Amino acid sequence: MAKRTNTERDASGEALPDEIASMGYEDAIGELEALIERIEQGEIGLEASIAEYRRGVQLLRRCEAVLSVAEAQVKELTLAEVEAAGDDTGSERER
Amino acid sequence: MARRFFDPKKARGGEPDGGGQSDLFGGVGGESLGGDAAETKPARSMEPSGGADAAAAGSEAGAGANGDDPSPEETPIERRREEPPPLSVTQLSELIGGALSALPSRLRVIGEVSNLSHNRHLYFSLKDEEAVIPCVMWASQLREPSEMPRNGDSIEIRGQVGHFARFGKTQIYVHRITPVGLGSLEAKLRAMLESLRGLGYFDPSRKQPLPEFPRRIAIVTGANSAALADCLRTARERMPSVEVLVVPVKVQGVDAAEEVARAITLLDRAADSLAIDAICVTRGGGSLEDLWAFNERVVADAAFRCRTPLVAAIGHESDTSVIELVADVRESTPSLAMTRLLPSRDELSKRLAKDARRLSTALRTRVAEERARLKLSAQNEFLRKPGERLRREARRLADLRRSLARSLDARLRLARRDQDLRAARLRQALRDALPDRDESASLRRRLDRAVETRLREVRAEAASAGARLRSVGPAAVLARGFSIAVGPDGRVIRSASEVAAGGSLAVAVADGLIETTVSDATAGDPFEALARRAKRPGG
Repeated sequence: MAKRTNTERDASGEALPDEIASMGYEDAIGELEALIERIEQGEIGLEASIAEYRRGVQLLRRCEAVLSVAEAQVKELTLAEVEAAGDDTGSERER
Repeated sequence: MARRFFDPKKARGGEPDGGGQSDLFGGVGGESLGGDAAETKPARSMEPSGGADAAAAGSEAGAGANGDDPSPEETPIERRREEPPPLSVTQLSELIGGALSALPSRLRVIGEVSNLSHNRHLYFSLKDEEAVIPCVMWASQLREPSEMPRNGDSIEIRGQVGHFARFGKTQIYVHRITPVGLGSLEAKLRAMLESLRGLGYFDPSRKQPLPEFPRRIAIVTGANSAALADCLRTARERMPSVEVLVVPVKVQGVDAAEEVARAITLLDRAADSLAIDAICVTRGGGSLEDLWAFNERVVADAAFRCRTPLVAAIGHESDTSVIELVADVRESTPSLAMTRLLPSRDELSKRLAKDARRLSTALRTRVAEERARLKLSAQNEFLRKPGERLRREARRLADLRRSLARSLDARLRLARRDQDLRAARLRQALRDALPDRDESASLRRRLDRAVETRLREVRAEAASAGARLRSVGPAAVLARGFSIAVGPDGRVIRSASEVAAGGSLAVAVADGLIETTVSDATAGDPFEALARRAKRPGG
């Protein structure tokens, strides 16, 4: 987890907004590509394009951060532990 | 001499084969088989039927032996002559055990299963049309659920013949059971596939898509198996960021199917709380028997009910297992399953690098476009001479204002005229619509007067016409002094020649009639004649 926090900063040390830092890869790259499309099509004004570009850079950094995780996290669970997780509906995590 | 036969050491030690062999024959020798009471108990319970079979087989074998021996009675006679010492039952058993040890140590026997009983260890009889032999398979030998025979199955067994002295029972100690011919397993698999297909278990329409970028996946496979190692290596290579939950299960053996099914069901139920995006069930290659757990109905049912995207890779490419067909995606090996499930980081990085280039190019292009537009504007007159342009604009504005005022005035006038005209028309229309009372009365009077006048004129005309009419009539003529002379015949005398002197005339005057006689009648002008007459005296 500490590793991930580091990757959320770029060379300038600027931290990503939480909203982007918590994004899944799929969502981040989806938004990034839609945003590029909008700038390419000239659908938005220059100032809006610049704002979109800034957000695009942040999304790119988020995607890179996900990809740059060095080691797969492997955890072994017994059937009993899996069963307990299924029973434990109270601690259901947001997916 | 007899010692030679009874020597238990010879009976056991004479067997050159491995230790397992010695153990079995130790059992034959009356020693406890592994000292497990439970192992002997079922043997006792099956004794009545098994014993009967054995007895039947024994009598038949005896009959056969008698048939083969031309002089069955000679041997006892000869022995009697030699007077051998009597044997104890144990000694005989050992003798039989020793004789059986001469049989090949690894027998393969084909037959049909009957009298199957399964209580930890497996007891059954193997028979064909002519013979039957009891069989026992220790639980420790029974590894594959696929090995479990059913009564009536044709099987091939591998094992050794031994004699269980305590029950006086010669039986086969089975190491391994395999179905015979195309038999069982493949037929069983085919039947299973057929029935599951009928139930829609393989229906392509119920296949779920795999997540494009799974964050966490679960792998159900054998603990410390090569398959797991392959999975983890591939996952690390392709997508190190993916979190892997490993759920070790038995992938072979009696309880494997239940464990695999349970793992799938429990993981699916806990998918939300464990935050897993997909499940991979996998196992390395093996024989159909080894892989059999993945063909069991309980596994098929668990996979069918699983709502979490499921990938299955069992055995090699050539193997088709039931779970692979029920799963959302089938792959042939554990690494390929991971490859299918996880996007490649290299590919993603390439795509991301491409996106990064696109992003900066897009903005640069956008800025360049904007700059070009600006340049175009700079060439514009307005930007070059803003004062002139402003003045012209001001003039244009003033002109516009004036013409606007003018057109407004004109419009107002027009409107006013229009309005007057319209008012006049309206008044006229009103007048027409509502006639003046005074005017109508005067008209009536004028009409009356005209009618009266005309009436008077008509009356006057009528009167004058009457007078004129009357004045020309005989009465009017008589009244004016004229007279009418009428001859004796009644005709009006119009000429002097019509009378002669002496003739009588009647003269009509205004107030009567004069009868007279003609004295003279002279032709000529009457008025001259009258004038002459008036001048004569007395006349």
